[in-house]
Amino acid sequence: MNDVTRILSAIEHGEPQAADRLLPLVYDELRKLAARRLAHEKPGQTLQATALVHDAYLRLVGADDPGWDSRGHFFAAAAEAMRRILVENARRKAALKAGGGRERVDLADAEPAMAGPDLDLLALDEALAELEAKDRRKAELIKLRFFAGLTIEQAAKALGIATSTADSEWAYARSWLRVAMLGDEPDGPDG
Amino acid sequence: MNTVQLDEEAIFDVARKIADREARAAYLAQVCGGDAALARRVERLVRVGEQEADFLVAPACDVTVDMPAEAERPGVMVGPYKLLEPIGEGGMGSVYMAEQTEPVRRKVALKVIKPGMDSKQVVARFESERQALALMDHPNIARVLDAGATGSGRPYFVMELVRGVSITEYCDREQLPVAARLELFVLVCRAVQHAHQKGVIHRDLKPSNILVTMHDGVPVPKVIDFGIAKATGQSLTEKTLFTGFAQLVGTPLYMSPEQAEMSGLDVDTRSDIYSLGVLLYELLTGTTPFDSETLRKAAFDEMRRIIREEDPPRPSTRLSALGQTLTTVSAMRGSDPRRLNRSVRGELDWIAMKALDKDRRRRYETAGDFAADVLNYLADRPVEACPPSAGYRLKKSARKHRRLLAATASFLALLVAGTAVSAWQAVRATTAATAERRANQTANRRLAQLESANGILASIFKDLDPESEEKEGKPLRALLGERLDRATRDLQGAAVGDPLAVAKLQLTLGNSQLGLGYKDKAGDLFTKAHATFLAEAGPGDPDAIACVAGLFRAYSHTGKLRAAVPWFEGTVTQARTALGREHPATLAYMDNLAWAYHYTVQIDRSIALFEETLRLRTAALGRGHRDTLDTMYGLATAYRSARKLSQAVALFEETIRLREAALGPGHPDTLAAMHHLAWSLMNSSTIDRAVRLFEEELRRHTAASGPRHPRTLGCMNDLATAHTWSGRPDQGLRMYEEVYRGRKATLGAEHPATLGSMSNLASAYFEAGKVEEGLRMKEEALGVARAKWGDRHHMTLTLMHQLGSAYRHAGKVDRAIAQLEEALRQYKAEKGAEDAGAVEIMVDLAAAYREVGRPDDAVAMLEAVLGAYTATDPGDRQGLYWSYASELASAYREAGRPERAVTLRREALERARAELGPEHDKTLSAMSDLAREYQLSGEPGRGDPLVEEAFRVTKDKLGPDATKTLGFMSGVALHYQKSGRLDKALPLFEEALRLAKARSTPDDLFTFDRLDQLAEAYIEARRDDDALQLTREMLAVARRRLPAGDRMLPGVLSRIARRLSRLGHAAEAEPLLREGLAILQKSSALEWQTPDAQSMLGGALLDQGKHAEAEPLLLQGYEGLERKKAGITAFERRPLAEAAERLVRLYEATGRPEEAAKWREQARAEPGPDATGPPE
Repeated sequence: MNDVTRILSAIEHGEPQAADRLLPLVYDELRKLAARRLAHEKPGQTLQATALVHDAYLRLVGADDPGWDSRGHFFAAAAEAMRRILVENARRKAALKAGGGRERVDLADAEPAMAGPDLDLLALDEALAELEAKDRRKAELIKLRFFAGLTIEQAAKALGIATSTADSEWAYARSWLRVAMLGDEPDGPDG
Repeated sequence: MNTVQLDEEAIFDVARKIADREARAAYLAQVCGGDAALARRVERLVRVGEQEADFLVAPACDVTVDMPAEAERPGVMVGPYKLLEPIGEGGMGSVYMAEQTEPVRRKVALKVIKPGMDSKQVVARFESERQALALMDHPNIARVLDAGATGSGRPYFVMELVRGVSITEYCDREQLPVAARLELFVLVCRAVQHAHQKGVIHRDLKPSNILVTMHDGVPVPKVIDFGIAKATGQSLTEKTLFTGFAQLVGTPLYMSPEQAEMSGLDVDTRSDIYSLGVLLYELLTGTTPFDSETLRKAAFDEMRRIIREEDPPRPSTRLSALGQTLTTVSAMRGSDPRRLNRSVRGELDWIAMKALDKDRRRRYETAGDFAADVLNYLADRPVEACPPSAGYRLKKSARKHRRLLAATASFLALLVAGTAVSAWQAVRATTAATAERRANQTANRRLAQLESANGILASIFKDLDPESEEKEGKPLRALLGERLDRATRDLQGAAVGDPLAVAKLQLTLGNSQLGLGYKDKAGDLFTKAHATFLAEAGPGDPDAIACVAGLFRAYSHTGKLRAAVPWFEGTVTQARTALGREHPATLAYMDNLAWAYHYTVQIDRSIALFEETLRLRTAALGRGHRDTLDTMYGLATAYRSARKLSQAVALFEETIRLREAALGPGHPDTLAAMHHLAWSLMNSSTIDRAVRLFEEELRRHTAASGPRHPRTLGCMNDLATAHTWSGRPDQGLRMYEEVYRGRKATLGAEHPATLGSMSNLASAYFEAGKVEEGLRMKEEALGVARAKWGDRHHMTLTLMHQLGSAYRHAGKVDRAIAQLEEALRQYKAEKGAEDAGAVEIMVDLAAAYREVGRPDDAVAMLEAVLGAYTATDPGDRQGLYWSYASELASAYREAGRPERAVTLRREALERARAELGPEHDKTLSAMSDLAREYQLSGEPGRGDPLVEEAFRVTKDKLGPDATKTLGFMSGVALHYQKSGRLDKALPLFEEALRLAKARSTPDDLFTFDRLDQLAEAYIEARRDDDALQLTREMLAVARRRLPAGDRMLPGVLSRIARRLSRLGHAAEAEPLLREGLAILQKSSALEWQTPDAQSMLGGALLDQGKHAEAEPLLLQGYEGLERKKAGITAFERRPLAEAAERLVRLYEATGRPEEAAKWREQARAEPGPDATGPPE
């Protein structure tokens, strides 16, 4: 058993706090993987977060696959790690635009950058923090889907809920976040 | 707040499903009542969700590569090297001049490889070659000093710094004449030879890797980049190609056909020879053999095909085709077009073309030989290189030469006018020559024209891409066949008057047809050509021999071979008459005939002829000659077919030894002999030697062709089999896995060989008890076959059936039934219900139905089987009727129709007596079966004479203590025991045990079974002490026979323990059960075994009054069995009932009657030990 599988099994056996030890490991691995992948691709190529996360899973958990329950914990950690990586990156870019930051980035530090046109990742992150305070599971679901690239079915499994439930919650959380990001409509008060 | 939020979400969930806006607004107004804000908010949530349907949906955060600027630039430190200035940009990366300070201060060249490679791997590969590279010490080789990874993770190499220009650039700039160019070239060859002698292959020789520097006014070529191509694993791949052809210029142009194959593995020193040939070509003509523009424009596969298949024009031909450019090219060589052409034409053509041969065996053996031949030319000595079989042709008459020449010219005119003219001129240019050498050359040249006519002829199929499956709507193979037919006709029309030329072309065409698999057409062509060669040139003509060999290959795996044997015999007779019994040609025909005898299973004749040929070839050519060795190999294989194993082994050993000396240890012929030797040793007493041989063969294949070459993988597969057979299934399994991975990677998942290894691997998994893995592998194989061939392809159907059977054997009967039913449906739809394959599926399906307690379905299925089987195999050649009938009889009984069972069994016995005779095994089994049927029907007396007779017949036939006799003796005893006549049964059991023990070679497991039976009978006779003693004896036998931890041990131990418990010796059973359980928990056993063992152990503890310890085990065991219930067969559910009964006993013993009652219910719900069987 390696560190990660040991932690996963600890979580399984009722030590939820062990998840805190999981996050740094997954985070490190994802950063390393992303940097290595990026070094091998041509500029402009995109990497799939899904592929990265699954790669990290194979590397960290590998052959001792502990089954779906534990896998859920892993993906939750991966989604959270991915979120942090991307948000940090967005912050740095924002700083760069503002005139600060470094002149050039070393390859080893290459960070995944967001694809997709107009998504304000920092605003999303704030909204997500709000949602998390209100309804942790929905925030978790968003992270699994959006940051770890899991499908609805996989995310439902990871959270231990029915796919139909995940489907409804996903629709609601998605709209909820978007509305939170857009702010109040000029003419309407909020509940 | 919380309730509001929940309401909001619930309302949203309904609202979002209402597409119509008005209806939605109405709904919201209704639900939200007076809360307009809530209605508005939900409405907005739904609207935003609709409008931004993409929001967060795009598969997460796709990540874009944000590539920073190049990290390497002057002034930067790379490892201990300081970059000074860029000195070049190559396909693989940038080269810098750099300064080393430690341990010595010097300037070096540092090459940073482009991104896209795993530097760890690159450096590891470099390290593995480092020692060999260090051994190289040659003035014309620039040494590679170091390798590492830059800070940004890119691999780099450090080399001796060479300031120079590429060899081609230098020669052109200095306008070096041909002779001076050749002198430089010889130096390059020698440098390469030096590297080869140190075991280093360059793999990427091209002008930009051969720099010329000036040393005291003398040009010195330096070969750079040794070891780099290997370390970077650079091979031609689609990816490297699309990275940008411009960057790779040179690479495909200088690449040998075997490198273009892209197996990427089968590369040896002769690939470098090829690249040197390209370099020579370029030094002579200013162009590479293949046009860079053509290669650049060609699609990837087309480009590979060109390199592999197209014959480039000779250098002189290329020069003639240059047109305007020729003047410039000549000027750069200090010459004019005419003079340049004349100096290149002939010997230099041949030298270059020999190095460029597609077949590397025909290239120069070594770079040293290549250099020597160039020196031959420079010193005006005869060169080695020349068109094949020229020496022989020289002896032909002048008349023939003229005719050949005429024929050649007419073909050329017919096919490619331009080439023909220059070739014609080439011939004329030499007619003035008088010296013998010139005469030779003339003849050679004429023959060369003939050869090229063949080549050009062959080129008419070359606009077809062999990788593609069709062209112009026709399958490629058919199209090629048609074109060959047309060419055959055209050529015959054009070549009237020169039968030899026609024959030569027929031989070529025959080989092409054979290559396409048109064996009959090939056979006809070979036969016709042979007749011509025989009449015009006699049986000693090499082409006549080639025709006979071709015919053998064409017919070797067809029914025609037998009919052709007299023809092959004729070739030997003709040769003997015309040339004598010991002539090499005669011996070649004999060798061929001996193979034909072997293939037509006339082994004695084959052996006699091989022996004679071997003797004569040994006398004429020597023992170590290749031809002698071919015959020796043939004789050894014939010995093996005749099961004369010791002779086969001795001869294979000699063949291997001599081939190692003559051809090298890694030569395919050497390895073929090794392979056959290993298979000859694949029996129990010599299997360890076979394993060692396969291991050695594998090492050599790996060294010669790389770890993933099809031959290497094939050998690994054999080794896996040998490991498995020799009792090392784990090693076998690992190896099968490797073969599978290798084939999947090199051939693709869909290749039949890959599917074959999946099947091997699945069997190995089952063998090793890894049922789940085995099933997964089979499922995967089926998936692949389905996707590739559809549901009704033969391969798919076979795999479906296999998977169904595998499910059944793994205890997943429900899945087995579903799978088998589908297989049967597809099979019937494709091939009809009476197909033999369908019958096999039906039989398996019936067995599965019986296992899940559906005897009526089994009956229906088996009745259909018996009908269909009689139709498919009218004479019952395989004798399957009896086993099918027996299955059906059992199914009748299970379905509650015992009278049908008895009738059918009686019928089967009568048929067996009539068709097979009274002593036949099947007749004897039919007797026992019928006796058992009578006994089950409550009329055991009618069975008595049957069992007694079966026993007597066997005893008379095989002797009193044969295994089978004792088996039938026990059968008689069992018959009496089951029908309640213990007095008759016991003496027979005792006698059987006595005889089993007394046998000279006691088979412990056989004795074990006898002990088991007798012990059971003793218990029934209430002789517990005797039963106990025998049970303990069983344990002793098991200990003797099975090593600790053996996979069979848990089953055997539980059998012993079960009886010990019954006899009231639970304490004695307990450690045995613990031991078995420990083994089970370590291995992946059948699904129900572990919980069953737990429950049994609980039972043993219960019997000793250790209730507290027993309870968790009993519960755990029961629950485990219950969980596996779906996966186990009706028969195997017996442990479940027993487990429940043990719980009943526990709770009764501990005074918990309610619990006991509950479990009694459970126990009753489960089929008991004999629920599916008849009453005793």
